[in-house]
Amino acid sequence: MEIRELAQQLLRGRNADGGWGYYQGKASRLEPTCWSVLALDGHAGPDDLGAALRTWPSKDGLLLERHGAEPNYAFHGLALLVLGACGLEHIEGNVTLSRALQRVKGVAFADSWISRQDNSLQGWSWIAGTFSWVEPTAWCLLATKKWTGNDVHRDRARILEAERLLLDRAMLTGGWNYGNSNMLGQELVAYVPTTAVTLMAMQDRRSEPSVERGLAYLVKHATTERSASALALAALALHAYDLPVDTVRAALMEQLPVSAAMGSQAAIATALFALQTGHAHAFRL
Amino acid sequence: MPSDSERISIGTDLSRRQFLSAISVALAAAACGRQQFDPGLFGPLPDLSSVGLYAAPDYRADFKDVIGRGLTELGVDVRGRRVFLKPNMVEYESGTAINTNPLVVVGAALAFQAAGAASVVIGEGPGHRRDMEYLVTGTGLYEHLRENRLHFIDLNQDDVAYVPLRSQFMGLDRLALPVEMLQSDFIVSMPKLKTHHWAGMTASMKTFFGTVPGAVYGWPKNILHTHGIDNSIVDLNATIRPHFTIVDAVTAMEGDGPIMGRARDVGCVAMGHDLVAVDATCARMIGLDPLQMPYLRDASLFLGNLNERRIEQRGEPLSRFATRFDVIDSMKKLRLHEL
Repeated sequence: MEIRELAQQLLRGRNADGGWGYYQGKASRLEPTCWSVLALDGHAGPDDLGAALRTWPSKDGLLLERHGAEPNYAFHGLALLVLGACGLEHIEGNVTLSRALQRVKGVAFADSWISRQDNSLQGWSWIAGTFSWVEPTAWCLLATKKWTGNDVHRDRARILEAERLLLDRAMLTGGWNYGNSNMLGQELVAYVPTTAVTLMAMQDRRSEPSVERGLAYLVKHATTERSASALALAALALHAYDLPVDTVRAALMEQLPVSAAMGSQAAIATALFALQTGHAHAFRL
Repeated sequence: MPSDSERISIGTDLSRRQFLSAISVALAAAACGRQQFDPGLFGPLPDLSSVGLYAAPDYRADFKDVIGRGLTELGVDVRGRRVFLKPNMVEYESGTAINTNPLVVVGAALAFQAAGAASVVIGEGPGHRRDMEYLVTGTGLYEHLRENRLHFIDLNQDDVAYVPLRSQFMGLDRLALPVEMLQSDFIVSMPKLKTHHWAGMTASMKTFFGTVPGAVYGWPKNILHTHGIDNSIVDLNATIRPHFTIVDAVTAMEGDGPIMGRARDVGCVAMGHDLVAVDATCARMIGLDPLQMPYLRDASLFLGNLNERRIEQRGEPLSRFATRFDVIDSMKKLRLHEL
């Protein structure tokens, strides 16, 4: 399958409001719109490619998961990275979005016998009023690190606590899953996509033993989870650490017909982006 | 076991003490101005619920045939209806019994097509993994979908509509649910039978956690845990009102389910219209007391029959498959004492 075909499939799936749904013909959502704008930037296509993202609805400076819904912190973090990479300015102002993200956090809980982890640490949750999990913390941490470097309002304590949370949730054998490394005395398994996103968020902390173990896990398992998202995120993370990605990209090319048939536009766009090099800086610190 | 004189006739197998315990929460809620459910919305429970148990010694069985026989015997009429199948695909690890086997899922799809369904859609929305493509390819389901031209949708990513909850155990007014499922005419639960380290057992009713969209609520779906797993199971089933269930108990899971447990061969496919009756039967099959599971006890008040005398066995007798599953220490209180 050609990269150009993937781009055409994505362009055909764009909604009249300028956004993308998770599936063609479905309502526009923030995550697939972010990945599609990022992947298609620079391709021959509509002049207003990023218009939907620039005007995406928000509440208190936080982007809504979809029109009329509530903010989703993980996708807000992803959107900040995409706005920056594509040189887009949200109507609220990217600085406003960035500062709003630093104000929100997951709720803390008392430690529990069911799991060996520090529940007092507060990173980012998916949505308001819930616990901090690995993926939203990783996306929001990466966005905060990347786009608040020169902001006097940069909350250094938030960054440090989010890093501590990610280190606390690392598997003993390396890598990360959704956010529990163990449960009821059993060690759980790592996932490639969450490991990749977390490594991108922690690329400036490479000397941390948990990061080293996570990177070793990813190098070993980068092609074991066959899906567009897993392979694409693995390639992006390895690229951020200046490691070879040819094998992963080859596996991704092989996977594309399945991904295209499954039809998830977020997955297709992530794959398309990872197979290009134009915005390789999007997730690099 | 309570004596007959201690029983109270409410369509369940509850003793008077158990009944009073079960309604105490409802009364407390009512005292606070909130009823947990309006009986008028649900109507009387059926006098008798049929549960079919069909033998399938392993996954080499012809599941289109096994399930097709069950549909006929249980009087399922899906002619011209849009059928939605909800399998359990929470995680993938090679060689484990975590998910509904793809051969059972596809067998069901083909059986419903043969029974005259207008369309069959398969959908799932895992609570931990959010990479559906990986789960569908890893489990081998993708090849069957392609070969049989079956449509699959990730329920975590479908369009959503807010639906008012028809019972009030979670204390929420509404939940977002996937449109693809809501637009179907005939919703079929297709779980893997497993022990569950929080709910005791996961089967027909618990599997509807997978219909709550992660893109709206996150992964894991915290909202279902913070409002109580048992409460969430009941509210989801009261609201979605699934029409039928097909339980993959060919190889089930015991011990620390739903993910870290051990595979255990049972050789059975359990089916029925009444999900409470089917789950109660599955619990008894693996040596657990359904009355001790809060979600089944609550659901039996208004969603289905739990009392063995109100369950009519079809297919094979329960005794053919009855066994005793290993459970974690905190769940040993659920065991049936007579085994």
